[in-house]
Amino acid sequence: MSSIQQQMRKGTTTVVILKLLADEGVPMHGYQIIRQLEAQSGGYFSFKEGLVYPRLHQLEREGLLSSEWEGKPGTRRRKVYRMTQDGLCRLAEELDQWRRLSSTLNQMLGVEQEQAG
Amino acid sequence: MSHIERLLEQIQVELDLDRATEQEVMAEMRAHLEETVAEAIAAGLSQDDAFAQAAARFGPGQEIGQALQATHVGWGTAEAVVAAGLPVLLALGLRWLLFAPDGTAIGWEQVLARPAFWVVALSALLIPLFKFHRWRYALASWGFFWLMTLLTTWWPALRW
Repeated sequence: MSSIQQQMRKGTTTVVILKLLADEGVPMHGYQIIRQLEAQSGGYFSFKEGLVYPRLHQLEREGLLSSEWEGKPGTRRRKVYRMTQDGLCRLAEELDQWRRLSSTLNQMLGVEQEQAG
Repeated sequence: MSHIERLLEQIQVELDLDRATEQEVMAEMRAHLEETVAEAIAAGLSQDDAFAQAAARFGPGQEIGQALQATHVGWGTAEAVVAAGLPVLLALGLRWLLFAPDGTAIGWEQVLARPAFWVVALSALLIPLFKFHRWRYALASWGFFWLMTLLTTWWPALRW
């Protein structure tokens, strides 16, 4: 994977996690989140899976996600994450910034003109 | 030891968090790996191959452990200060029980027979160890105290 791809992926992991949880509308555990992101991105978001957890914990720490444990003691228990109100607000801000950034970059790089042509 | 246990051990070595947080983090990592293994076995892999594949997909244990530690380390700043300071305070308490203010030993054989000495000595080790899960601080201060105590007892000319 090229350096620019790595940087793009790092910079966008937060917003894609928030978007996924907002779209799904149900609490999801880390394993589900990773599989969904891989599936939705056609493999572009192919993570070292363990490195997603520090990001999830950071988002929880910032109050953008909340978590709870699912499952009874003695069975397989999973920690699930759900969006908070602050998370929804942050997602809206991030999407807005992303639209402006991508629009500006597309203009600067002439990508839209090429596609239109 | 399976690939999974080795990986979990590599992660845990990097963690120095309060006990509850560390247990929760490790339980979450284990749940993820078990799920990955179960999926691989359901897809037809042998157990050994499933373990190996799950570990490879999960990533390097040291890097993950360090990232988790960096994420959580700021959460219990006050606790970390207490965990670091308490063994030092208790070690000073031990010093005052064993030595006069000028640093001379005040009959250490008698002091060792005092229950109060052992209560403080054990507290210096056990409280940080079990309450805060900061065993490095506890063992370091404990070891330092005993090293200084032995040196001063054997060579009274050393005053501390």
